[in-house]
Formats: sequence, structure tokens, C-alpha cells
Amino acid sequence: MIDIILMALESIMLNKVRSFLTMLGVVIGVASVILLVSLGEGTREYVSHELMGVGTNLLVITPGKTETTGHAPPQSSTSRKLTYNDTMYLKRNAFTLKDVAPIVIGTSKIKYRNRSRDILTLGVTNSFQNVRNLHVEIGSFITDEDVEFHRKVVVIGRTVKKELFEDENPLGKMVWLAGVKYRIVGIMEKKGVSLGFDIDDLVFIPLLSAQDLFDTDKITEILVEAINAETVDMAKEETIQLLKKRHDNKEDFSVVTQASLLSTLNTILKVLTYVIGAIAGISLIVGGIGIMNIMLVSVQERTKEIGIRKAIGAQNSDILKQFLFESTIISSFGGVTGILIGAGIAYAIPLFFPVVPVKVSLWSVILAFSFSAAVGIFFGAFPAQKAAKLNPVEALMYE
Amino acid sequence: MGETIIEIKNLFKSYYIGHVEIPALKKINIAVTKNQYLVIKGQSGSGKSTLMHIIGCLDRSDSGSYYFDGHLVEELSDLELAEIRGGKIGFVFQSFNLIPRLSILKNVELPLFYLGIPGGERSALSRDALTRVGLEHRLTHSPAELSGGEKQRAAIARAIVTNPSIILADEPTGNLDSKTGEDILKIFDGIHRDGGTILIVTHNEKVAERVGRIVTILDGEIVSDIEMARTTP
Repeated sequence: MIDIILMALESIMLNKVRSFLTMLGVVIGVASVILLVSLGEGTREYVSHELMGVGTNLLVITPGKTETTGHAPPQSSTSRKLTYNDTMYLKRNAFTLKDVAPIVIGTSKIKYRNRSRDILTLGVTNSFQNVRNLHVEIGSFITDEDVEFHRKVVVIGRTVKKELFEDENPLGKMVWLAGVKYRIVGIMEKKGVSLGFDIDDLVFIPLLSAQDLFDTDKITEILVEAINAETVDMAKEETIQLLKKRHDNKEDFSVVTQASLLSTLNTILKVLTYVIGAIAGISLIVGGIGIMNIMLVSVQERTKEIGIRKAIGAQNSDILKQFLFESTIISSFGGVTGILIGAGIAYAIPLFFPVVPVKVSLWSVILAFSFSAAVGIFFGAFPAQKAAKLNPVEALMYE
Repeated sequence: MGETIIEIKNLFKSYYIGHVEIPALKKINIAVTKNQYLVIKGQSGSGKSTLMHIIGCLDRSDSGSYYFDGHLVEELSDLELAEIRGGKIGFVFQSFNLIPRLSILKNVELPLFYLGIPGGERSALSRDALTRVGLEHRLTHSPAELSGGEKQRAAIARAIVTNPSIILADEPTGNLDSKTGEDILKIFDGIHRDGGTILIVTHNEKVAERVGRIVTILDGEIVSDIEMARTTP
């Protein structure tokens, strides 16, 4: 066995340039499979991780029924809004909910002295920090009293602090928010960018103050936290029942669990990864055809040698093995090189583009290598068969 | 008479060019016993090479029977034929047929490799065979670095390395000058003296003169089969 492998290696080394070029087809195929799958997997992992950080116990209630497929009937645009009272009702009556955090989202202009910027403004209650797992670093968060008494207080994100105050201590300072004076009571801890959304570039004000500011009584969405991951479904059911009671027994709102969102996204990204991996796999097949082509030339060139080998006792299977090993070695070696190059590029990408998530997964490496070896066996089989079946007399006479 | 190695009875073989049948061998009857030294003599196109291919188990007959070492060759599978070629027959060709990219030693080792003999033993046996033909100083050279005579000696070493029942030589001196050809024939003489069985196919009268038995073939038929009194020059 080792002797036949050595023999195959000798033939490969004899035609270095040709073997290298043949191998190149496989190298490019495998490298692109590894690279593209790594990008896909990286993205999937990144998205999952970010969503997990938000919490899988989470339910999101939005106004309007959106879980149906197809076009909604026109009148559904007049969907009934969610209100602060809905929130309070849930909080008072639900058994399976740990916390309820209503949110009003809007944009406003924040101004301090002569600096101003447009800023995403979240009207929240105290529950928000627990539900979203975001915390104040300095000062305090919005309290229930702040909400109840429509207080003009604001908690600012890290980026806002840096942009408006630089090194100055903003605690207790007054800022203008959409023309209304607010007092800064807290600064959030640094969170960074998550899902393209800069958590640090936000300001938080009491929910009812936000409704005053945006002149509305609507709630944009309600975040609900189940007691634990196992009771999410129960929590969802209870939430629906309770809200329906307040909405004339109509389910004119949507309750989406974080877990279902996560698994939907996961499925989409997985399919996407497989698809791009498969497209890259096509180049591997092209590489395999290259191997077959060269092996056919090689068999033709060595017809006489095959005749000699048969005359001195080589069996058909010996000849078959010799050529099959040759094609498999070329493709496997190409596979290993491709894996190294593909993984190398994948690992190098974050050094130059830190925002691009990459993950070289073991399954893609194993799959790419097995596939490349299989390509060698599959596309080498026909030329090897051809060599093995040569008539010894005709092969010996071949010039 | 010694032990019979080859026994051919009523053997026929034809080739087809398109639909036209070209008879190559007609009703061949021949037997070869152990330690015989014989020549099959004939002009080119007489069918002697076809006969050698059949005797060498490289080709099969159309009809008739061929016994090699007691086995009916017609009934053997391709695999069994390969085993006979590897273990019991040693080929020497006019054009040497060494594999150019292998060293002389590797070339000689090849039949042992296909017999499944391990590396160390393979090397030792091959060195012995190369010493017998006087090439012990050329082990690592490639065939291209050798003269015609040396190449043919390497090919003989490859033929004898498995200690075969018979050596089949097809025009072994055909590509050599007469002096070198003589040297090669002397090696065959020596192998015969040591107990080997040798069958040479040739059109060369001079080669024919030195052996114990001359079989003449003409248009695919054996026209004479003469056994001399002396067996070794």
C-alpha cells in the first residue's frame, strides 16, 4: 500500500507544473467553500449571539396582527393601538410574566449649549433596564415615579455624553430635548454596536414624558419577560388572553417570542450558508473535471508503461490503484492546501475588517476535505478504469 | 524428457481488420520442457510474436489448448494470468521496455513488488540479479544513462529476479550491435547452464545456431522443429 502511494507520489512529482495546475482547481474550490461558509457561519453566530444577549425569555408585543401571511386587508391599517393602560393591566394580572416594559420610540433634537444632534429617543419605564439587560453606569435610571409624574429627566448613552459633553460631567446638567428642558440623571454603561444599532447613541426618558413629547398616547411596542425560558410559551398564551380581554376579544396585536425570531433568523442564515457553500462547491466539481482530464492524458502517455507493468505481473487492480491514488493524492493535497488558504483568509479578514464576522467551522473543513478527496476518487475512477482495462499486448506495442 | 512447462495443442489465433479475418496462427503444436534452450525462428509477419504473446499469457488463443505448468490457460482468469506472468514468466523485449523514470534497481524490483515481496527482500534479490548480469555498479542510474547492452542486461535481470519457470525473449539482440548482442546471448547461455529454460523469438540465424532446438514458423504454421544433439555451446 505504502509502495503504491510512493509510486503515485513519484508520478505526481515528475510532472510538477502539471500536477500543481491540476491541484490549483481543487485548491480554489475548497478555499472558496471554506471562506464563504465561514462568512455565513460567522454571520449566523453573530446574529444569534446578539439576539441571545437580548434574552430568549423575551416576548415582543406590537400593535396589529402581523403573523399572517399574504396581504392584510386594507382596514387592518386602522389597527388598535397599544396603550400604557394595556401595560399596567398586564403587569397587574399576569402570573407568568416577570416584567413588562413598554417603549415609545421617536427621534428628537438634543441640545446642550451650542452643540446639538438628532437622537433616537426611547420613552421607557424602570422595567426596561432589567428586561433589556442594559444598565446605568453613573447616576440612576428612569424610576416609576419619574414616569408617573411626567418628570423631565433623561438618561443618556455613552456616545451622546461624549459628543455633547466631552470630558465634562453631565450629571445634573440641563439639556434641550425637542425644545423641552430635561435634567440628566444617569449615564448608561458602554454597550457598543449591536445588530447595526448603536446602543450608546440613545437617550431614555420617562414613558409618559415621551408620550407628551411626541404628542401621542400610543406605545410603540411592549417587551415582556417570561419567568424563564421554559415558560415562554405559557407567557405568550397568557399575554394574548389578557390583552384580548382589553381589546374587545380581538387579537389585533402580535406577540413574537425572541426564540421564534431567533430560530427563524437562524434557519434563513443556515440556508443562505448552505447555498453559498454549494455554489462554491461547483468550482470544486470543475476542479474535479480538470483532474479527470489530466489523468486521461496521463493514462494515454503511460500506455506503454502500463503494458510493461502488466507484462511483468501487475494485476488490473494494481494499475487501477496506482492511478486512483494519484488522482486522490492530487485532490486531497489540493483540499488541504485549499483549507489552509481558505481558513487563512477567513482568519485574516477580521484583522482588516473587524466588523465582518467570520467563523471557520469544523464541519465545513471536514466536509470540504471529504468532498475534495471524493472528487479525486470520482473523477479519477474513469481514467484509472481505462488504464486498468488496457489490453497488455496493445499497450506494449503502443509507441 | 524433463518436466513439461509448456504444452500447446491445435492452437488457432486470428486478427480482424474491420470484418476481414487475418489468420495469425494455424494449428500450432509445441511443447517445451524444463531446461530447454530453444528458438522460435521466423520472418516478420510469420506469427512468431503472436505466439510469444500467447505463450507469455499476454494474449489468449481463439481455439486449441495451452497448458502452462499443468494449468489450462484458457480457463484462467485475468488475475491468474497476471500471477503467472509475474511469478513464472520472465520477459525480455527487443526495445528493453524499462520504465524510464525508475532507477535500474527499481525497475528490477518491480516484478517482486507485484508479487507482494517486502521492500528489504526485494532490494536484496534485485541486487543479486543485477550482479549476475554484471550491472551491480549501475543500481541508481536511470535507463537513459545506460548503453543499449546495459539496458538489455537490466531487462534480463528483471526477467530472472523472480526465478521464473521460463524466460521469453523477443528479438533480444535486435536493437544491439553484433558484439553486444553476443554478450547478451552469453548471459542467456549462462542462465541456461544454471538450469534455466529459455525461449527466444528471433529472425536472426546466428542466434538460432547456438541453441539446442529450432522451431521455424512460416505464415502462422510450424514448418520445422529440429532438436540438435548438443544443448549448450
